[in-house]
Amino acid sequence: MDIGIIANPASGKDIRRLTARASVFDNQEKSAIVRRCVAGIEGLCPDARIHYYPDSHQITAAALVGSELSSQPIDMKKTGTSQDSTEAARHLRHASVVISLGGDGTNRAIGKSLGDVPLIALSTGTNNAFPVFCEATSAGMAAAYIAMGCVSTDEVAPSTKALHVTYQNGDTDFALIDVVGTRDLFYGSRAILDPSNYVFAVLSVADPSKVGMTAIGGMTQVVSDEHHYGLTLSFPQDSVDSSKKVVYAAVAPGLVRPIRLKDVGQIDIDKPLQFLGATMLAFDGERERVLRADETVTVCVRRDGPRRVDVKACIESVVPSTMHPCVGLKRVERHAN
Amino acid sequence: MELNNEVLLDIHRRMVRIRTFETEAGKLAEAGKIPGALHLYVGQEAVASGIMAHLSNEDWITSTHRGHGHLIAKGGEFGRMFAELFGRATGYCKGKGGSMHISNMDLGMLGANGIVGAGPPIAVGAAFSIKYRKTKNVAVTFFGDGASNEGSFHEAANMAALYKLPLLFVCENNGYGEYTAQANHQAIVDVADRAAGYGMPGVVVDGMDAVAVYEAADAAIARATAGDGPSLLECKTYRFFDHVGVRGMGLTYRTDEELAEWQKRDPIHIFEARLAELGVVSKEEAVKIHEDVLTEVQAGIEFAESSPLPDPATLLEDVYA
Repeated sequence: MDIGIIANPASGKDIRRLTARASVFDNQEKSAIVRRCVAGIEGLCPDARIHYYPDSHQITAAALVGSELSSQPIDMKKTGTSQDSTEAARHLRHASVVISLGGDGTNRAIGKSLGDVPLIALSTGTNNAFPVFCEATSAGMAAAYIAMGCVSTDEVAPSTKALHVTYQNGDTDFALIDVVGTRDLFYGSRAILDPSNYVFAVLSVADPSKVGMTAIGGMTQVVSDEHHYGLTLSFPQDSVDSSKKVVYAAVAPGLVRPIRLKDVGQIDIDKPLQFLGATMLAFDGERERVLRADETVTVCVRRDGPRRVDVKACIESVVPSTMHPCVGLKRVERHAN
Repeated sequence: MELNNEVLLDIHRRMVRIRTFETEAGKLAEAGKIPGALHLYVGQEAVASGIMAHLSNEDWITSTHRGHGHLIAKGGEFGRMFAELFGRATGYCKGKGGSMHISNMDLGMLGANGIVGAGPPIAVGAAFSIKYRKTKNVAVTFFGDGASNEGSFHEAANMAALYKLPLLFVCENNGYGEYTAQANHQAIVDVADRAAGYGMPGVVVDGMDAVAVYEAADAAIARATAGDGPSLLECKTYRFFDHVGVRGMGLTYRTDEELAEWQKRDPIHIFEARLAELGVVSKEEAVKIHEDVLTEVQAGIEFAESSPLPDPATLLEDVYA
C-alpha cells in the first residue's frame, strides 16, 4: 500500500499574481493541505507507506511530523526545476496512487513519467485545468481507498488525453491541456501574458469553466476527456486580419478578455498536426521552447495522459460498503499495536 | 513597456556595465588600491538591469551594502563611482561615503547602506512623497533574503501596503545572508510568501533572466502607478564572488559545485546567446560592446586616480551630525 506525494514548492507564485488576480499559494498552506491528505490516509489506512518528493521547503516532511504512517523521502538528485517532479514521479511508478500539489505545469511534469499510476491532482497552481480544487482530507481518503483496493481504478481514474510533441530533430515533449504557439521572443517569466501574441493552439480539452487557453477554446466548443478529439485554434496576426469570431474568456485567474479567433477546428486522436516556426511554444501555460523559422513541430492528441482520480466518484463508490472488512480490520489491527 | 530592440540593447548594456565595473573594481581591491570592504554584484546583474530599464531619474531607489550595480544600472558614471570608492573629492559623495554609502540624488539613488534592512523604510518615505505629490513615479527598494528577517523590512511592508504606496520591494535572494545559507536563517524558502501577510502580492522571479525580471517589474510598476499599491518581487539569483571581495571558489560556506551550477546560468551569457539568435546583437558586436565598456571603465579609473583627496577642512561638511 504505497502512496506517493509530490508537492511542488514553486507552484502558485509566478507573475500572474501581478498581471492577473491569481491566488498566492504559500508553502505553509501547501504543507497544511498535505497534512490533511495524510490525515485522510491515516484515518482509513494506517498501514499505508508514504513515499514523498523531498522538496526544498520540506512541505511534505513537515506535514508528516506527528503522523504514525510509515514514510520516507524519495532518494533522488534534485535540480530545483520541474525535472524534479518528473524524476519523483518516475520513482513512484510502483505506487498504488500518487497525490500531487501544483498546477497544470506541475502535473505536466509528473505526467511525463508516472505511467498508469492513478493521480489525485490537487490544485495549488495558477492555471488549473488539470488539477481540481478539492478538500485535501477527502483526497487522502480517496488515496487510501485506492491503495486498499476498495475501488475500481478503471472506474474512478480513467486515462486523460495528452498532447505529444515531436520536433524536427526527433526530440519529444508532452503537455496535458494545451500546446500554444506565441510570438513571444523570450522565455522570460514563462507565463503567456499577452493574448495578442497568440498564433495557434492545440487543446486536448476545451473547458469554458476553467482559465487559460482551454477556456478560450471552450467558449467555441466544449471538448472533454470523453471526446475522441481535441481542438485547434488559430488567431489573427494583425489588425487587418479578418476575425470572424470573438469570445470572452478567462485568460488568467481574474482576467476576462475578448479574444479574436481566426479558425477553430477539431483534431482527431492520434492524427498528427504539423506547424512551422518561428514561434515560442508554450506547454500548459508556460513558455518552454523556441522554434526556429525553418523548424517544424508535430502535435498529436493521444489518450495516454495520466489516470486522473475523480475524488468524489472514488469516495461515493465505497458508500454502500463503508463497513467493508478491509477498512475496519486494519484500524483495529493498528490500534491493537 | 514594449520589449523592442532598443530596450533589449539597453538592458544588455546595463548588465555589461555592471559586470565590467565590478570585475575591475575587484581587481583594484585585491591590489589594495581601494580602502574598506567591497561587496561586488557579479552574477546578479539581471536584477538591477531588468528593473532599472523601467525607471527614470524621477523614480527613487534604495540600495544595499552591495550597491554598485544598482547605481550603475540607474545611470551612475564610472569616473565618479571609482572616485568614491577611492575616497576622492570628485566622488559621488565627495569621497566621504565610499562603497557602502554611494548615492546620487540627481539619479534618484537614495543610497547604498551598510545597515542590513535599512533601505525599505527610506523607500517608504520616497514612495509616500510620490503619492503625496501625485506624480506617476515609483520607488524601488532592493534588499536581500537576510534583510527580509529585519524588523525594518516588516514595518516598511506594513506601512507601504496600508497606504497603497507606489513601491516595489525587490528581494535579491542570492541564497546567503552574508555567509549564512538561507536554510540556516529563515524557515521559508520563498521570501515572496511573506508578502501576503501584509496584504500585497508576492511573486517569485528568475533573477538570472533579465527578461523575466523586466516583465515582473513592468507588471508591478503598472500596479503601483495605477494606485493598487506595493508588490514584492523575489528574484532568485546568485553572487559569483564572495560576500566581500572577489574569491568565489574554495569557500567554506558554499561548494564550488553549487557555484558552477549557477554559473551555467550566467545572466549575461544567457541573454547574449538569445540576442544573437534573434539577430539583435551578434557575437562580434557583443565583444565590441564589452571592449567599449572596458575602455570606459579604464577611463573612469584614471579619472579617479588622478582626482584629489578631500580637503581635511571639509571634514565636517555634508554630514548630518
